[in-house]
Formats: sequence, structure tokens, C-alpha cells
Amino acid sequence: MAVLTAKDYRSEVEPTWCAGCGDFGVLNATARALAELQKDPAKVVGVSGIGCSSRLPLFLKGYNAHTLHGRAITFAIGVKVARPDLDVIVFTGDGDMFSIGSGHNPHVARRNLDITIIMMDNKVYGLTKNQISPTSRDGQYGSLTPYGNIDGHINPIMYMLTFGATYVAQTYAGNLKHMTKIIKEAISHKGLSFVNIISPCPTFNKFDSYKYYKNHLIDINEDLGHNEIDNFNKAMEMAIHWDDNYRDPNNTKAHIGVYYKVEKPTYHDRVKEVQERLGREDSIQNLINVCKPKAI
Amino acid sequence: MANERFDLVIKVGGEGGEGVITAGDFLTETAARAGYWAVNYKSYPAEIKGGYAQSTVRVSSERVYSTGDSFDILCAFNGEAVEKNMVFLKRAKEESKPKVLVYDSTDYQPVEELENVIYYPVPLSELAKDVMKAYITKNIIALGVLSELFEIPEKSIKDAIKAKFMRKGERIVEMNYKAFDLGRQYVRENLKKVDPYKFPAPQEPQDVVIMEGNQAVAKGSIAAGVQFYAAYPITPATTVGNYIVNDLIKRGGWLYQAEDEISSLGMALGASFAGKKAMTATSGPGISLMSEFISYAGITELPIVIVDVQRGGPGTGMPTKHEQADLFICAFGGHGDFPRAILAATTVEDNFYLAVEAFNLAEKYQIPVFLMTDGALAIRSEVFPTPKVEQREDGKIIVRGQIPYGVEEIEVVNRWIYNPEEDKEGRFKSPTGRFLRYKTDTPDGITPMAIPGDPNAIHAITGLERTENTDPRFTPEIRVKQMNKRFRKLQTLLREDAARYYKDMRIDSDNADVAIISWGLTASIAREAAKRLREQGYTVNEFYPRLLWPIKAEVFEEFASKAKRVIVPETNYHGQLAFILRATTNLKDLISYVAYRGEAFIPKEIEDFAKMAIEKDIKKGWFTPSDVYGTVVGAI
Repeated sequence: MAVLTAKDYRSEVEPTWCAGCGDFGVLNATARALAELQKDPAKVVGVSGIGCSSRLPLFLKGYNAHTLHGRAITFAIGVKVARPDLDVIVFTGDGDMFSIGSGHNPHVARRNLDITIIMMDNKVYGLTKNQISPTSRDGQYGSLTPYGNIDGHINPIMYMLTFGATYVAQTYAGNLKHMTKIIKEAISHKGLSFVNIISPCPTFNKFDSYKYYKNHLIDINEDLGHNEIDNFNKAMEMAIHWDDNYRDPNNTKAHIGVYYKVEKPTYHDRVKEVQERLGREDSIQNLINVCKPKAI
Repeated sequence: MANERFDLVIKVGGEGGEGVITAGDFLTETAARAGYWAVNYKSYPAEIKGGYAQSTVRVSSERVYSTGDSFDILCAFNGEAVEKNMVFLKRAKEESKPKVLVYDSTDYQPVEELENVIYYPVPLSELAKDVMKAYITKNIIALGVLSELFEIPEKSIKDAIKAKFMRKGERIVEMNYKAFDLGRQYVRENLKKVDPYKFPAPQEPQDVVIMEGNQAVAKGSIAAGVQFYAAYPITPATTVGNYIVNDLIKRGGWLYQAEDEISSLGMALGASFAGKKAMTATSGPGISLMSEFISYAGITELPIVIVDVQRGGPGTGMPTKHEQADLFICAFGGHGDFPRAILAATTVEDNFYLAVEAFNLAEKYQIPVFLMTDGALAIRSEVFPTPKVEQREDGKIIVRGQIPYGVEEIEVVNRWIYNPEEDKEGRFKSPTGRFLRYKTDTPDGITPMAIPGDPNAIHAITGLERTENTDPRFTPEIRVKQMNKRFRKLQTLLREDAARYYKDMRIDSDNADVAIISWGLTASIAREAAKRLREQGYTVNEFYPRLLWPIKAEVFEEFASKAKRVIVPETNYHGQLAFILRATTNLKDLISYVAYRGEAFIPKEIEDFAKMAIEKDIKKGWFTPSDVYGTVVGAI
């Protein structure tokens, strides 16, 4: 097969995002990562829910599925269990994954399905025009909270670590190089990988801008020396550290880098064990005949 | 089969955990081993532990589809079982045949002698505790009692006992034989038979299976080639998963226990998109949760089978009770307009074959297909002729048997997969070479699918309205074309396949006294009522469609035109099938006859109502058994 370049992973459909949307960067980085890995586009399945970020798979070449709000993970699990030979990537957003779809996160992670979840975190509902999300900052204005956010927020990194994800990282839509590296690692990781991408929404979230992040990003691996990435406690400490800073947006650093990476048997590894143990029955008739009265 | 007609209903009742259900299973298996037919309706306690349980076994020389109006013999493991059935025992005085009460005299003493009831006291608990020194043998002692009293073939019943216990070793088999013999001996030494009931001599057993309703769904789905099953526990659907899991793994597939019903259907659709035959089974609340994905399956045209083992609704309703009140949600649930099909089983045997058919319709038309059953069918077991599955060298699979709705055989259908070799002229390719997954100009509305891995037909799917090559687009022209394409599939289904499911029709007369249209479990009960009406000289036309959506109006209209009145018995409040028929056909004068008490009809209730409708010249309206009897009667 000829060597594929990033543009070979792009579909004919043109993105519909606003100018300056961080999701453009995520799309480019994903195409680059797939090209660097020389993945067969026919065997990459991108699955998404609903939201600005969830349009992404439609702009990629592949057997992609744009599904329901909050339900991408469920569909992706079906694809992966049915066809372990496929690379399955979920593209989602903070509202899609951590509000309406949050019930699926523990279960995909604890089973360590070999799926990659890429969450574009813009801290706002963009497609419905500016409502606060589970990752919105305190006081952030939304059309349904014109008085400013009083709801508190969640830390997706801490959650996914707790649920048992075996690869957890954060990156930034303004840093193509770092993003490409992380997405590549996440796709190559055997097991459930979760990548949170800080993806600015220039239309509805004026605070979390490129300008803001220019001065507030810090690389946890290089700048903070977080190197024991197979150490769960250290990963958790790092995630908490980020969360503490997050509560004080004027004096904060936003993390990028790998929090956690560990090798564990995947769901499919365990499935294969069971399948081998139970063996195979070629005759459907035999499976019916067990309902006959047993011969004595 | 049998030379003389034989038909006997034995009910075993008692505390859950005392082997009541097992005793019923033994009687069912005994019937099969002795060469007779049986249907066994089980009623588990609603409580987690303990509570009242019963098993009603009807054994017959002919195929039977209901457990009849009432029992002939009640074997009561405790006083509660007698009390629960007192209403039936008291009715014995109005009946020609006596009722027999075999009861545990350790636990119960009758306070009054009921007319036309024959009493056989047996100290079942005492015998189990004091003689056998093992209380768990109580149900086997009871079987011995029944065997001796009613000449239930000893060898057949002992074989059934052995088949059950041989895995646990010879000693356990011997202990149970001893308990069985003790029951027989007790009868010989202490009781004098005065009732007329006896089992005929055993005959050459037929080639039969014994399956529970949910088991039949599982086995049928395996025959259809299911490869992925998403499960979320819900009464009474859970056991479809229990029954299918090992078979599925042995056939190379997998059962995934989802975190909720929304996930179940999402996962099953993901597996279907990935190229596998996929299903999920649930009950009413699960269907409510799945509604959004059902609609998504409609627009993305993904084949999927959804089994709805109905229970009493609404809300949490009555999870362990029988009801057929989900027809509306299966026919109309989910937002927007999209094509779908509904098949409904009338018996356990139906469940097996209709599971195959459900996959066929789903795969052929790329639509969501519902297989509707209910909680009573789920746990009822039936003896029926063994289905035969032929797996041909060329990969074709043919299912045969005595298919109850009158088709000869079912060939397993697989979805149409795009093959560039068959598309040399590029019918399903755009000028730039893109795959046209949703081409709008095929005459039947069906277009080829492509599965991940095939480089020739890479495409995305979306729940948005889209162009032929799946790009989101909402222009009126595209919208109308895509909508028409999707609904053309239903027209094709009505033209090519509907007739298969409309064969269970009997026309006695072009101007019958009464016609009955019924579905699901109620159909199997209406069938018996119709038979009795006919025996009394009435002309009765019957129609038990297995396809409930879409509706081929002319078939129903022609059927109805041949009778003076049409009764639609069903167990829901609205009269949901009648409601749908009034909306989709020119039939406005249908008589809804409904029960919504959580119990199935008994044949007599349909028989009596039909006679009332004939006498009073009723042509339309909405009636319940209270209109016949003036009171709410439970048909436990």
C-alpha cells in the first residue's frame, strides 16, 4: 500500500465549525496521528455523539458513526466487541461525555475496552449556543445561567483515573505537535485510553481563549517532572493538583501531558479466554437438541 | 397420536422453594416422555425469597395452546395453595367434571366439604421430614402420589427424575426414587381412588423439545445467526440472555451486559454497523429507554432485533404479571417517522420461529424489528416438535419444523453487502467514486450496506438527514427522497413478506356468527374459545396475524367482511390492536374485548363474551369480562 498522508484521512465533507474553533486542530492532529501510524482508513471507526466536537468523524475518512447525544461510547463498544480488529475512536465533548453520557464512562473504563476516547473540552455547550457544561468555570455565563455558574465542576482526568482507564492524558488544541503525539500514543495503547483536549471555543467561551492558554500551559511530564506514569497515586496527585489550581483561574496552570499509562489485559483479552474455555459448537441442531428429554 | 382423546390439567401450588415449579417441570417432561403434548404455565412468587408459586400443567393427546379454564387436579403443598384456588374449587359444583384436591394434610385441614370436589389428604411434609428425613424430597413424594392416583406412567416420570438428578450422582437419584416410591406406597395403603381421572398408557414418544418461551427466543436467534446480544437485566426478559449466553459464545459471538437499556441498544447497533447480526431483549421500561436509539436505527437503516417481553405497565407496573400493552410503543415509539416491523408470538413454539423471521426482516429491510412476547409466554414451557436446522455447505441455513403459522420453511436471510463486482456500472457510486449508501432510486427502497474493512465503500453514518452519500443535508428535495426511500421498504415488506405472517386464518363461513382477531398469548387462548363455540354450533372465523406492523389493510378488511361481528380480545386497556386496525383499515366496527388485570384471559371468558355479543347483536364497542360476569374475575 502506498504511504498515506494526513489528507488521505480526511473525508470530502468540509467542517462546519466557527473560525478559530479548537476542534480544527484536533481534526488535523488526528489525521496526522493516523498517517504516522499508517492506519488503514477502512479499519478505523470514529464514533461520536452530538455537539460541535461530535461532528469530527464526519470530516474523517473511515467507517464513522455520528450517533446520539451522550451515546457514542455505547455504540463504540458494540463495534469493538463485534470487531476487535478495528481501531475504534470516540470523539466527544465535555457536555456529551460528562453530562448526558456520563453514565457510560465508568463501565467502558473498568472493562478496559481497547477504545480511544478523545474529548474536546471547550467548557461550554456551543451547538446550542452557550450553556454551561460540567467543566465550566465558576461564574461562567450561560444562556440558562445568566447569573453566572454556581453549579461546581468536575475534573474529567480524576474521574477517568478512578474508573480504571489505563491511559489518561491531556493536551491542547493549540499545540499540534503535542496533540499528535498524545493521540498517536492513545490509539496505540492497548486498553481504554482517554485524552482530554483543551479546545477553545472563541464564539461562546471568551475566557478559555488561545491568549489565556498561551500563558497558562504547563507540561506535567517535562516541566513538572511527572515521570512515574505507571504510578496511580502519583497520577491522581497530579490530577488533584490541576483541579486545585483550576478553582482559582487567575492563578493557575493548565496541564498537558500523560498522567497515567499502564498495561492491563483488555476486555477482548478476557473475552478470548472465555471463548477458548467454552469451545465451539458448529452444529446449530445440537444446540436445539439439548432441549429434548435427555436419553436415559 | 393417542387413540382416545385425553386432556388433563394438573396444578401444583405451594411455597416458593418447595419444588413446586420443579414438580411442574417433571410433569411436563413426563408427558413428553410418555408421548403426549403438554403446556406448563409457571407462576413464580413476586418476592425474592418465599411466597406463593404454582405450576399449571395441561397434558393432552392433542396439541394444546392454553392451560384451559381451570384445573382438574390441584396438588396443594400447603394451605395457602388451597386458599388461593378456593374460587375454582367452589366453582366445581357448577361443572360437570369433579375437581380433585390432593393436599398436604400436615399443613391443612378442609373446613368444609365442597360439592363436586374429591379430597385426598396426604401428609406430604411429615413423610418428607419423618420418613425421608429430607424435606427437599416433598415434591418428589407428591409426584409419587400423583403418579399412583392418576396412573401417570411410572417409568416416564422416573426417567424424568433420573435425567434431572443423574449429574449429581447415583445416590441422589436413588434417594429421589425412594421418595417417589414412598408417595406411591402411601396412596396404595391409605387412599381409595374415587375420581375419574387417569393418564393413558404411554406411547411411542415423538421427536420433541421442551422449551420455555425465553429459551425459544434464544434458540431461534441462534438459528438465525445472531452474533451479538446486549443485555440489561429486567423482569421478565432477563432469561433470554441467561439462555443465550453460552450458545452465543460457542457460536463465536458474545453477550455484553450493558450498564442500562440505552446502552444495550447502542451497543447492539454498533455491532450491527460492524457487520454482525445483533439483538437485545427487554421489557416495557427498557423499550421506553431505548426509544431514541430505535429512531436512530430507523434513519441510519441499521438492522436490529429488539425483543419486548411485555409485562404489566405503566411505570414499574406489575413486573411479574401478564399484559400486552406495549403494542403502541413498539409501533409508534421513538421520535419522527421511520419504518419498522413488529412480529408477535402466540406460543413458545412461535417464539422460536419468529425469532428467525425477525432477523430475516431486520437484515433484509435494514430496519428495527420488534419481536413481542410477554411474561406469561416467557416462563411457560411447551412440548413441541423439534425444529430442524439445516446448515448447508454453501453457508445457507434452512429452518424447518411444524411452523405454527403455516409456512413451509424459513431460509435465513443475510443483509445485502455491497460488492463492487456486482456494480460494474457504478450504480452505487457517485461520479467522484463515493459510496452511495442511501441511494434513493432503488425500486424496493433497499440499498446495499458495507461493513468496516472494505476499502471500496467507506462511508459514515449519521442520525442527521443526509444525502445519498451520507453527508448531512436538510433540503426539501433530499428530505423527501430519503423519506420515500425509507418508507418504500415497508411497501416492499407488505408486498413480498406480509403474507407469510397472515396464514393463520380460518374461515368457517362467509357470514360467520363471529370472527376473532387476536395476537400474542391471547390468540392461543382465543383459539380454544373458538373451538368450543364451533362445537356448540356457531360459525367462527379466526385470524391470528403474526405481523402487527405494518398492517396490510385489505387482508383484515376482507377477513372482517365475512362475519357479522369481529371481536378483538387482547390484554390491555385501550384495545391497542383494535385501535391500530381502526386507524389503518376501513374497519370501524370492531369489538374490543379487553382484560387489564395482570392475568391472561381464560378460554371461557372469550367464549362467553362471544355468545353474549351474538345474543345481544353487539357490533362494536369496548368490553371487559366484567360486562359478562358483572365482577372482576382473576384467572389465576
